[in-house]
Amino acid sequence: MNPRQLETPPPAAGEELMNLVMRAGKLLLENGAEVFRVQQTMDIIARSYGGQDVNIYVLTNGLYCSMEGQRTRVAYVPEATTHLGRVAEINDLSRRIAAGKVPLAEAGTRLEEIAALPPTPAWGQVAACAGGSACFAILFGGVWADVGWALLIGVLLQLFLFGAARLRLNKIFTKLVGAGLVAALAVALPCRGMDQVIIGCLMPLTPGIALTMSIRDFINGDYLSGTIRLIDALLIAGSIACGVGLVLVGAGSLLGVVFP
Amino acid sequence: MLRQLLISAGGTWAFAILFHAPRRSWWAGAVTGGVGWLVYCLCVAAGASTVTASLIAVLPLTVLCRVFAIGLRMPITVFLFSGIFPLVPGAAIYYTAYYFIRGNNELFVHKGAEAIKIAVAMALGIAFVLSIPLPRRHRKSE
Repeated sequence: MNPRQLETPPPAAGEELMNLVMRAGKLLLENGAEVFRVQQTMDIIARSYGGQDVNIYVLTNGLYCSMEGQRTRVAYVPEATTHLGRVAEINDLSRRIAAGKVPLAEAGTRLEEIAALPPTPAWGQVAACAGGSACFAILFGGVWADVGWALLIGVLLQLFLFGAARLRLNKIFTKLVGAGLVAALAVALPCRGMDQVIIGCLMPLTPGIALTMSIRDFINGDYLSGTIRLIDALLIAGSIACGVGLVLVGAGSLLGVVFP
Repeated sequence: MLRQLLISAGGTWAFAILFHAPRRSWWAGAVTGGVGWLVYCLCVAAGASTVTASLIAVLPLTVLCRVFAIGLRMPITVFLFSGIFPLVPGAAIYYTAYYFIRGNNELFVHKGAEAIKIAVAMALGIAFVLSIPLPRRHRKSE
């Protein structure tokens, strides 16, 4: 049976379809997909299964969907992390749905499988955070003698981030303390180029991607989503700077070291 | 130059892992990141400003992302997020906030304008490359 040949689906199937579309949208948004991709994917899935009069509105932190014969649904997505593996899998699923290869019931099961996709193993993330910190410390003009220190700070930073996630710490507070930790370690350890080590190790925390994606939202005409992301980027940058600033000012008055 | 290429590719690789990108896309992300940074370095060496260099560098980077997206059948986001990491104004936006709280208004305005300009240049570059239409047979695969 080709789902595309269906007329308006029967009410029960309509509800199932609505659940599927909402679940897919929410998963995409939670795992860091762009607003227009979420909107497009939900639309493709809904239309492929014969949904009529489908209207979807997606924001950075929530989504709305209405469909003929169904009550309108809203989902709130306050926290988003980046898990590109899940985004890629949902994209693949929606492509197969659009080709008419996936029955409705199977699509729901497949989505739950995707939602359960594990993150990269913890040791892999620790190694990646350390390696990334060291690479960026060098790229920003650091000296090779500091690579070891940057690796060490990267390891400790990722361990701290795991701990903060387990304690469900507030995002702003996590970034502030994480940045403070990086700065304190860079001051305490005998690094030659302290500035470069700090900025390299801060890269996992900085909102560079958020800022660029916010401008992309503006260009796409998603002004509200762009504004939300922009404010998010500014707040994160502010909290990182506060974390580093507090530590450097403290170290300056305690140890008599002068910083820029 | 080769060393810069390898280091930026390594950094991009690390962030592909941190973003939980699919394992078979890691190398592709690293290649895009390395190429982007290399073009950026060449532009800066040729005398371009950081903003112009970011705009020029993001063009081949996004083209490469599209090629990988079609070749590996994955959404372009997977490569784009890690690939643009060396170029995004993460450090600039941090320095902006840092000078703001330290009360150094001159450097605050300078860094802030630079961060916004780089972000706008990159977003424009990405939007430009993504809006070039593809032949119909490839259209679905992104």
